[in-house]
Amino acid sequence: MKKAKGIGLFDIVIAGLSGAIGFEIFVLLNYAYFHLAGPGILLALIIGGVINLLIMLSYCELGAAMPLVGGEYTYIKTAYGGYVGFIAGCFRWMASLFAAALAAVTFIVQLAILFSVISPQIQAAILDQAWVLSIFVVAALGVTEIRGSRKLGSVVVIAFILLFAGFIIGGFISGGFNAVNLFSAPLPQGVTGLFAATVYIFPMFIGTKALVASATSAEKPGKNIPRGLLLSAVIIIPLYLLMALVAIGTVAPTETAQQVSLLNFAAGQIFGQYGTVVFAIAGMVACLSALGTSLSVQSSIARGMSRDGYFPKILMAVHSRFGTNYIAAVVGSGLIMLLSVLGAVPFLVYAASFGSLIVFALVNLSLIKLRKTKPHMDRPFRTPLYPLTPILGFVFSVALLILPMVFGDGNALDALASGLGLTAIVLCSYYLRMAGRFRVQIALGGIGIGTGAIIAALAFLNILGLAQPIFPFISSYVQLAASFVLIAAGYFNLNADAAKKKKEQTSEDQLRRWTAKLRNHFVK
Amino acid sequence: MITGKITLRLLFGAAQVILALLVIAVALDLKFNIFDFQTMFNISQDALNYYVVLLLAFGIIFLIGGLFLVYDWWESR
Repeated sequence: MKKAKGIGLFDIVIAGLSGAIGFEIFVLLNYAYFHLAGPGILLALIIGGVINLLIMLSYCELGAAMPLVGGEYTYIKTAYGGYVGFIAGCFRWMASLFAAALAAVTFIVQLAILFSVISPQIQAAILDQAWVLSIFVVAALGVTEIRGSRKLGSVVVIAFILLFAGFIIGGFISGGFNAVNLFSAPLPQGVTGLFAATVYIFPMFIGTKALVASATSAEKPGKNIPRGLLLSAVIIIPLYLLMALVAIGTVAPTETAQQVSLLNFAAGQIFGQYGTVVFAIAGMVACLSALGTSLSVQSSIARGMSRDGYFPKILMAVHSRFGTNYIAAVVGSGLIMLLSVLGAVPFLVYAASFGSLIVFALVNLSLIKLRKTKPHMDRPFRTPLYPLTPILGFVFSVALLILPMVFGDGNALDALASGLGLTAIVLCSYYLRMAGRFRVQIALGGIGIGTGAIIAALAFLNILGLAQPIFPFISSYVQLAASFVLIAAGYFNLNADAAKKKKEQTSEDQLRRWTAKLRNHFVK
Repeated sequence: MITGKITLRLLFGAAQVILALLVIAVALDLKFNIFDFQTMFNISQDALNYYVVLLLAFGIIFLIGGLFLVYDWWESR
């Protein structure tokens, strides 16, 4: 029997580029250019690209040494065991959900840009009902995921590269390019704005790691995975740099069209209305492709974690007709819909990169740990300048995570708060699994009764006019009713273990009675 | 007797889940000012963050607690 041939270097590079070339460039340049760094985003792109390259060196070593299913989740699990692996898997999963929500929101923005040329009335209606449309888009893609439709993959990537090349050439040869824009206000917010922009545009690069998913089917993975990772990480830097250069040269930082995507606006300036239409369609295709990929990725991570017993087993359920993990797809789609309704682009960007950066930091630490604990492991590629490279990779990942908060960007602070909240959920769910359900249920019962009693007491005092309301926007009578529910539910949660034992006891008694009846019957 | 208690578990569990979802919805409404709650109740920016964090944290805890009770009922069917 002929052995199936694996995918070669070209396909691996295309897989890396398909992860990196996506909808991000249509949405991220905008905020970074008009609000953070002005023309300084060129420098931000170089810094971001170099940091990504540094992190990819760690991926090269681990990807070549462990060409297995699960990518970074597997590397971290091998280095640190189940607990850290579980946390990494959760963050990766959540990052996919946030990225998918961002893609859905960006799709609606691109649709609105398309209709700005065709019919401004329809554009206004789209912007007015953006959240309904984003739910519809996610639902449609969710159904596609369940039906197991094939992705366009390399065709889309090559089409995008050609389109972007056309944009760059057109930008330079058209009369609209004005080099003065590049020096008009290099860093309007100083170094702070430059670093903030670097963090903000960084998600444009992180998709290159997507190719580790192809590691299992790669030909000579020990050679081709590192080459593919490095090539795609290197190719993406000049491509994005040239695109940003043309966009900045075409659109001045003081331009009034700040609400429109920078790339679409620049395309409109260079090619006229056709440019706007073509780039809006391209943006929509990129968003749909990214949304589909994120849905598949989240579904595959959920399946892997369910297989390892961290997530409920039901997520592994396979559709009888389409052979896909339909429960994981439905759960993921539901969560993406909820997130996309928020519609807050900067928040979703920070939240998506928050999860990815934590995973990056853990991958770099895993490399250091594995070098120590498994020195004889077969490593077809060794990260140069060890341990400096993974240490720098770790430091930059953490720095990119923290810097926006240090600069006081409200969106980053919101994303951090959400990230910490999600981390708390992740850790709680791990301990829920480890400590056992009933212990957690009893603890929650105690919290419910305590909170209910405090709310009831304060609401009662407020009704009597003896205390200020803690929640002035909720009536004290409603708070009193709610506290009753909390106390009652808390009582039942507190007695969960006793109820279970009683039920077991009843079953045992019943079994004993039946056995006695049977014995009596035979004795007679 | 046991069936009655199980039904009560379901009732209070479901009530707590609904309550938790409402609490989370109020927190999100406040944060994103969907129904202009911030102006309506004259909530300052500092107090807003405090309310949102508090409501979200308790909303999630109540949601899990309520779901446990519903699950208890589901298991005992």
